[in-house]
Amino acid sequence: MDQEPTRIMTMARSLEIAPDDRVHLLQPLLGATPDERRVIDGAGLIIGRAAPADLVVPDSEVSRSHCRVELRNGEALVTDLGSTNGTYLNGERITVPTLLPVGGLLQIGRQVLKHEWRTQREIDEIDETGRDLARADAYVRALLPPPLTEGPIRTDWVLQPSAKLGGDAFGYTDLSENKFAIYLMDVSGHGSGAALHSVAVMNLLRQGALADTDPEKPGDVLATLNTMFQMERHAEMYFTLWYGVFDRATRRLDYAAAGHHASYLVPADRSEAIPLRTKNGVIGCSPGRTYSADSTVIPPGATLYVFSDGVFEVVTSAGLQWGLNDFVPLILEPMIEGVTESSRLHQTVMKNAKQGGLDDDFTLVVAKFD
Amino acid sequence: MNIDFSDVDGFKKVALDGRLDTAGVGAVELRFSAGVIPAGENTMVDMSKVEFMTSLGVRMLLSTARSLGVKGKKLVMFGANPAVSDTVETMGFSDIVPLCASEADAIALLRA
Repeated sequence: MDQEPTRIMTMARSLEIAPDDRVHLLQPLLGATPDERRVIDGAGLIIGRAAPADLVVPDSEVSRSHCRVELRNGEALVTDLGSTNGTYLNGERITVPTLLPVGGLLQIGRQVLKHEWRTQREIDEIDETGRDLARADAYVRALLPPPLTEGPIRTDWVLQPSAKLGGDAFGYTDLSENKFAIYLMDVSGHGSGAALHSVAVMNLLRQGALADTDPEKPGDVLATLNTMFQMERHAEMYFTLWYGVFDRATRRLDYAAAGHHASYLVPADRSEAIPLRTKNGVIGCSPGRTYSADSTVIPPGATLYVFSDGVFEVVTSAGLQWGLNDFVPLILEPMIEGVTESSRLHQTVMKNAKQGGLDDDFTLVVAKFD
Repeated sequence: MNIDFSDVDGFKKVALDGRLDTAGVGAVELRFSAGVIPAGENTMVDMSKVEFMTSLGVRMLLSTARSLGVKGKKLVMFGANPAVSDTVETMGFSDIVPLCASEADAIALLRA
């Protein structure tokens, strides 16, 4: 569903590192795996679009020999090699050889590389954590439904986990011949614990396994989950949830939100984005809480946008903090032929976001109704 | 993200300054909980200099409030800007951590 990440290739160069020796590293942040990091050794590195560059970023915005990173007196120095589109350090284009500080972000085309200074032991620990997060991410993804490309309700989605992996998950399913449920949750916190918490909730919702609860009644579903998932019994984690049930016969959508911002309904003429929310607390904080629901009628040709706060809690490249009111107008921008709505909005947000990726999961589900 | 502890009218006051986002929470969470929970006092949090709060910030406040609640004590907030107030309203946790308009209102609530 998501855009294909830029792959990084490194030219083989063996290097023995003692466990406690610190080395300078360039760690790709976008679409790369941990083993694609590269040690800056005494010979330095040429970064470019193609071999014989030491670190190849196959991106049309990257010049063949784009820049050089080398060590001088124990510090990393970056020099642009006359690239067409420039080399950027922490958002500023460099014009002369420039010190690359530890933690500095080097932007080459659409790729961002972070300068780190670590021991092999630290690298091993980070890799192990990364593998844990990758396993948790894979587990969540295994539960996600495929896009619906045919039928009276069609869906598309993007779930891009943050580097720390948030606890976003979503689903949609037919509850009966006429009833279609769609939901999205966001667990507080990051890491494999948050992801596994979302898996536990998703399994219940997917299997319709909430005891003594009618899955067609959003308020009841939220109340039952709140009873089951009180945070003191679940590692101090709570979650927000938006849950809706569409009746194909009457076109009525019943919905309820628990600590979750609105989802938005856009009619066929795309004249407005109508917020669909109810004021209820998050799930897991107050036992015995009741949850109110609301309903609306979905007109023919309308589109529903359900998303996590990672979609709009974005810091832009200009350093501005976005909120929900900054994102909603983007929903109403024209659709693009051949591009799914979720991909269009994801690309728009990423174009505006600061380099280095998002701080939270980006999860957006779009449902189009005949 | 900065944090400052003081005592006002017999209550503990914690002033937060900065962004309660991933980095901000990471910077102050341990000091916040360590400065509030073991003391076990009624506590007010000055939110007037908090520019922005994500769900991680909410979790920090909620967890601390629940720990104080076990000891029969309250955590209240005051002075939040519109963006932070909106987050509190959306997430619906003001029944656990009440949000007051002013420090005087927070003190009155702690005394009640």
